[in-house]
Amino acid sequence: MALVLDGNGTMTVGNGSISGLSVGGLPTGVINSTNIVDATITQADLATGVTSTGPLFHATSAALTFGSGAFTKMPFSGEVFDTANCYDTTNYRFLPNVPGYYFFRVSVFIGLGSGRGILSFYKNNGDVGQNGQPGSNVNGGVTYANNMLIYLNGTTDYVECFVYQETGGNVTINNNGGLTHWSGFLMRAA
Amino acid sequence: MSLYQKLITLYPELSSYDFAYGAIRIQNDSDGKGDYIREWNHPTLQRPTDEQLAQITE
Repeated sequence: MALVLDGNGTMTVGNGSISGLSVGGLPTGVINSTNIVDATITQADLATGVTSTGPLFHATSAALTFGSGAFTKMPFSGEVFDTANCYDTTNYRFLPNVPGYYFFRVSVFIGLGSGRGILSFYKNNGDVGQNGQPGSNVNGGVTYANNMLIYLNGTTDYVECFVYQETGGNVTINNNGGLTHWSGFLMRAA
Repeated sequence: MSLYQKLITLYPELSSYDFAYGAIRIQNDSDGKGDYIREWNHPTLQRPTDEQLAQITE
């Protein structure tokens, strides 16, 4: 069988048909950062069902008594997990180091005798999404929740949670970690 | 007396909607510094001065 390489960079094998030839590849178990530069592997190169290892966290709250009519930052200081060290337990905020779209979920259990309760996500100290419902203190109260997808640039963008009530007086949240908590994770890299 | 109570004392015409979804945003950053007016975009009522708020007592 002839193997011809012409001056144009075209290689012809025999009469153009190849049989019994296996193309060599990397042996199983040796694909690593030496063979493939990490940064060249994009989201599109991942197989269906392969999840990312982007930042994620889960946090619980300290005790909080807060006044009527003021959006008050939830003191989520109890870090349950924080895979990329992106959660700030002092300022109660998540500042991830990977740009992309993050999904957040927050729940706060409060007994409100009147008025409404609201949970808001703040991005860079600006309200980007509220969810409110009428208050109740039947059986101790109700769970206020909010969910949202938020784009974060991976360098300076951060997210916080704020809570609001309008009973006219002070209210104390139930900060049991099974009732009051928030979490977030990278859903899709930018 | 909270900042919210002072504002509704000064302007009784304000509703809870103004604070929840409207043009006034009172905020507390849970940093020990208390409530403050973060936004005041009310179309007719002027933002009160610190002196006005200090004069309102229970």
